[in-house]
Amino acid sequence: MSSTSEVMAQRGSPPSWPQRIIGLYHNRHLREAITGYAFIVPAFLSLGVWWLYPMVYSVYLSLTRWNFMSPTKRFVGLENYARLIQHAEFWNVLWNTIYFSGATVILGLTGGLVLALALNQKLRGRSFYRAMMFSPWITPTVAAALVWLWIYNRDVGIFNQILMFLGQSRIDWIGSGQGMLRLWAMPALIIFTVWKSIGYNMVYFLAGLTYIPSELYEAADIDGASAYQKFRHITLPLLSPMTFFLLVVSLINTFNAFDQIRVMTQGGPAGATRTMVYYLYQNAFEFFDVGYGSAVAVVLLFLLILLTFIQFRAARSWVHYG
Amino acid sequence: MTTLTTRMTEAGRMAHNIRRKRTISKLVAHGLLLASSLLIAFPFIWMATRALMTPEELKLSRFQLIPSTIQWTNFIEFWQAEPLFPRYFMNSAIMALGVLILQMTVACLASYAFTFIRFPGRNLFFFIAISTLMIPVVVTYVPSYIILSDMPVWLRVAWSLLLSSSGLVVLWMILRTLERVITGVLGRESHLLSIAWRGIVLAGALTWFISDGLPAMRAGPAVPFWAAMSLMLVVFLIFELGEHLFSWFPGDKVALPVSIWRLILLGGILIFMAIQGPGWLGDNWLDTYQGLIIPSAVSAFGIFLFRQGFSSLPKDLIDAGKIDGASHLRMLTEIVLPLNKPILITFVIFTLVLYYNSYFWPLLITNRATMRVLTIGLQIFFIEKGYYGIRWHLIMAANTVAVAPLLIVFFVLQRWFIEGVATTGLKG
Repeated sequence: MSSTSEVMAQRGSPPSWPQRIIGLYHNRHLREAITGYAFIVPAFLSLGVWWLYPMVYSVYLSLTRWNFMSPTKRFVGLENYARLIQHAEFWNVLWNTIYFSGATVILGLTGGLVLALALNQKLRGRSFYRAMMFSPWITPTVAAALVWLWIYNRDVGIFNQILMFLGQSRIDWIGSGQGMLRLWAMPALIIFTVWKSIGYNMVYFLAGLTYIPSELYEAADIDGASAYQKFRHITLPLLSPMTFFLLVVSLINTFNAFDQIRVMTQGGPAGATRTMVYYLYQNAFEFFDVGYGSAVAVVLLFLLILLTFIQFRAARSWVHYG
Repeated sequence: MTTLTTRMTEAGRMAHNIRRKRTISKLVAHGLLLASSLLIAFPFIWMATRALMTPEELKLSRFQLIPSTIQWTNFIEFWQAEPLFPRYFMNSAIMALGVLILQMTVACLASYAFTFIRFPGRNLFFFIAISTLMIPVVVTYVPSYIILSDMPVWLRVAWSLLLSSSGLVVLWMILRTLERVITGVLGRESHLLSIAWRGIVLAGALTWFISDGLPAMRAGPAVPFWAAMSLMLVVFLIFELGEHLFSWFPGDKVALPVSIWRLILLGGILIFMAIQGPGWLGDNWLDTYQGLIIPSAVSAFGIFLFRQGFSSLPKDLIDAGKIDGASHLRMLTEIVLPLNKPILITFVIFTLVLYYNSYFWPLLITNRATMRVLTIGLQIFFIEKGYYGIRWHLIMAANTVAVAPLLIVFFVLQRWFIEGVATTGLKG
């Protein structure tokens, strides 16, 4: 392998520029770097075109007024954001998003943890239980939502059948009820989403539990610790990395939730289940108010970045590694 | 009885208590798990039983689990109501497989570089790639839609390049593998064989090009894909042949390795073809397969996952490869990937399931009935042919058919699914 200096030593004179170019070919570090860049070019070309550029473009679009059809986009500055803040529906949407995400994540993680604890014992039929409870996750959300649409049906759905059997009145779960009846649409969606993701959380927690050495529990038993104490001082802390991971992932997933809303409620009744993603979809693709929709997108982006940042900061105080 | 109790020591009593606690907790666990499993699996059971009932029975049944008469005809009826269902399924399959192949290639290359190749900015790029996991993908949908509706020329050129060159590489690998097989059968290397088959393929490619490709290229600025391919194949083969002829004759090789010449020439041809040929990849990618597949090309999850797997390989393996003079590409395909099969399988399963189930993106960019994917097909069937729930038996039948393959594959391969999913988050 000849470098430029070796060529110099051999020829006894400074290398000419063709020789230097050939020398470059033999330069291992340059070849390494070029190979490295070549390997990441497909990924970063795609990343740039379909992720980074769209993010910047979204910000630009949020400053315009456009309806997908006209060839020009009218620049209107921060007008979309002003409309956003003044529009009562936006605050309703924001609340719905927080309500939906918060409830789903809390219920989903708690349920997943409980089930994982139960499954962690040496039981027969473990894999059967595990498979049954994980199965909702692999099905298409749309297909599952259609089935649940019927379970929630006011007249023939199984939930109301049970309620009537117990002598209670029927609940208009996701129908077009007024007033108080609006209350049940979001819980209906939350129940569905928890049902879909609980197996996933359970499996992750289970994996995390297997990393806790059993000697710790045995030592605690000898010290006479109660089950609650063992849970609080051994299980929870050692499970915290997994909990943190699931927290972040679940939050992102619930913020992204769309399929079930579109299939089951379309944001209704009267906006009771309209989350930010659905609000974005409606404004951009149903009302063709692209600028406003992009403003919603930008707000969503910043909200999620903020929440993730807060989570990472808070993690320092409650997540124990190693 | 009294002798027994007096013989029980303190430690014995404690052990007995612990054992009793353990049995109780096991019973509680069993009960909880059984109840939960049944509750969670219940909607699928409900769906399957409803798929087998008549519409009248559906209205009357309350808690009925088993249909009184099994209506297999529901499955035929929904197909008749919507004959496009096989097409929906095919679209979903094409999308899922296309995305899988693309994502795996892109992520493997990138992860390999992040793990094994030292280049400036490596950590920064990795950080950028991983940070996209935090971004809600919805934010990119509107601009992506706009880009798809009017694809810029340079992007089409890039894709034209990529697809022509991959086509050539695949073809070449097939032929070379065949040659290796035959060499193995013969037991020794045969120069005559190498030159002979390359010569034959060259003759075939020349014939194809002269008879079909050349007229097509003369037709206009938009060069069909296969015309470009045939020209590339011809030129490439000339050089392959040339190199083999060279190696047959003793004596000095040319100053630069012949492969460099080949690369430069190939690059030139590809660029020429790419500029000529964006016509075959039109400028409107809405309602197309490439529009469904290509925007999902990069999977940050895949990059993350593969980097975990690659970095757990022992360093000596890579060093041994370097000493043997293997190129990075060969090391990737022959050393790193075969040793990471579990992670690859996890990724395959995860990605196939994710994109088979996708709904939002296809909803945005497809319009024609023939381009719908299965999830969209199901929802539209519910609205149009199921009349918003009046024909539940058909809807449930369609649902069952859509969901059943996934569930069956899942139950058979559940270990791969579950254990693969669980190992991804541990080092997070």
